[in-house]
Amino acid sequence: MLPTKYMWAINVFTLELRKYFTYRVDFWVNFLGRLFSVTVVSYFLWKSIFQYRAVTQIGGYSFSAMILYYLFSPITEKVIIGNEKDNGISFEIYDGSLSCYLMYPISFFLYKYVIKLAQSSFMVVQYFIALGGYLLFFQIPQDVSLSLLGLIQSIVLALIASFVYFTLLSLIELSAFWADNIWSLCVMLRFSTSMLGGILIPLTLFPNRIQNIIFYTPFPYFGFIPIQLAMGKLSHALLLEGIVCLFIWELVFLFLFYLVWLKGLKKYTGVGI
Amino acid sequence: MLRYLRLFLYFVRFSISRALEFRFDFTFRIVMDCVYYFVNIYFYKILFIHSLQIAGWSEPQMMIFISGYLLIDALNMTLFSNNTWAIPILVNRGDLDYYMLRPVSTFFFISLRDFAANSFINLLITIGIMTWSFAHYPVSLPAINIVLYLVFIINGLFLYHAMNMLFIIPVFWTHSVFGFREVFWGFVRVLERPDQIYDGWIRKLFTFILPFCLMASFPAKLLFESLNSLVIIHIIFVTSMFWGLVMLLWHLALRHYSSASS
Repeated sequence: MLPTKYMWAINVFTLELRKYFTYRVDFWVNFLGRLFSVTVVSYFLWKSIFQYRAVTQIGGYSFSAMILYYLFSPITEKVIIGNEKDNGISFEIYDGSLSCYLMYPISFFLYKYVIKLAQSSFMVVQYFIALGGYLLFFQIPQDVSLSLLGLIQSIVLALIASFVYFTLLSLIELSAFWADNIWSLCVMLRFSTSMLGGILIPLTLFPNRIQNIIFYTPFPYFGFIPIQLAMGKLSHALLLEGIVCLFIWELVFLFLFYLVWLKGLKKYTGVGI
Repeated sequence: MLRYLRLFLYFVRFSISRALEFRFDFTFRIVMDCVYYFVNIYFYKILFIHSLQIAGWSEPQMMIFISGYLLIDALNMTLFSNNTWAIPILVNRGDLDYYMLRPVSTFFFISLRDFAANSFINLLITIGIMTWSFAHYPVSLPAINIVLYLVFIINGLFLYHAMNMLFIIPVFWTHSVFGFREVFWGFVRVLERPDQIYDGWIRKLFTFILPFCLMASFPAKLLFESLNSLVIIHIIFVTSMFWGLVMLLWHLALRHYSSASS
């Protein structure tokens, strides 16, 4: 049970979930449309490459494992990154509406995070619907070992990664204290994450020296590692290592966030645009 | 016609002066699109590490194809993107009234009102990428093929805008925040892959019903292969059909629109 002073979090969480379920047509069309386009395009692209190369594996993936990777990729991306390009923090700053939150007896950062958590939880539902649909019609590839434990571990890691991504994005959004319009920075983070996080293409296909550099950053946790874990291509012992790494990155981003937040608040006038 | 051209030039002038007021945003939008170009080019570079050909195209051919869809993206970002982004907001807030009252085509006004000055810089960058990819192409290409390629890339831009509008217009009925924009962006990935990879009914889907393959891939095919009049007729026919459909739906949507909170 949450202590009474955090009961607001449950209210915000349920309110946000209700908001998501309000636009049901949007929900199904966006979910199925995006899933269909990503998996179909990837299927045909990789089919042509596998046919041309006449090999059974590329980058450690058989053709069917590659397709499963591209099923996991958009749904894991939704859990970690979500639909929105930003957390809305930058808008509150240059709109001046941040002033209201500063007067509330709750942490602004926590409030925004609860909203993000509600979005991620909603996306977990989509994750299992998509996976259920796959298992209904297709066989599990031989080089993949799907297990309930692996899927749960993957979701746990994805939810922790979504918190780290949220903090990193919020840190970037704080530049709105100084700059006029910063959504382009958020979109840049999204583009970088899709490439360096292995959402666009598995990281094992990158040249080795680039892979070595990428694995020193938090990006693989924003897609590639949770997907690998779900597909049984990583040992479960690595989950703990992943959590520790994410925890360290979270501490770094959180420290920077509060540093910039305190500096930004001194500059904040609340006038708005 | 001249009146519309003059109006468009006013839009450009106002948009440039507004964009220059927000210098940070102006600069970072340019960088943002450069990141997008890098991600796209590097994606194919990685694929070419693992395969010498993709859908029958070599790396230099693929570079020309990539530069084609990057050019469409830059043109769309410059001319239409800011405007299409705002349509659901205008509809749901009832702000569309102000546009309907003006003595010009609402569709024209709403599509071209905001000219993205920063993206114009990106447009120059994509032209640079295209010039570079043509310069590094190992065989000289016939001038007529190059001219047709450029004409059909511009056609691809208009088809792109028509498709984008088809995914946004449902907002008049669904009242959702962004229409089916997410789905449209998902399908943009189809445009970023060569059409030869698709077969069966999916190929029919992406060349007739959701004709994303006609925007950049078909023009590239016209460039590399001998001129095929059937392909040209196909592109022109489908583009005309889609513009007809968009206009029909737009007028239906305006008739259905009932101002604020509609």
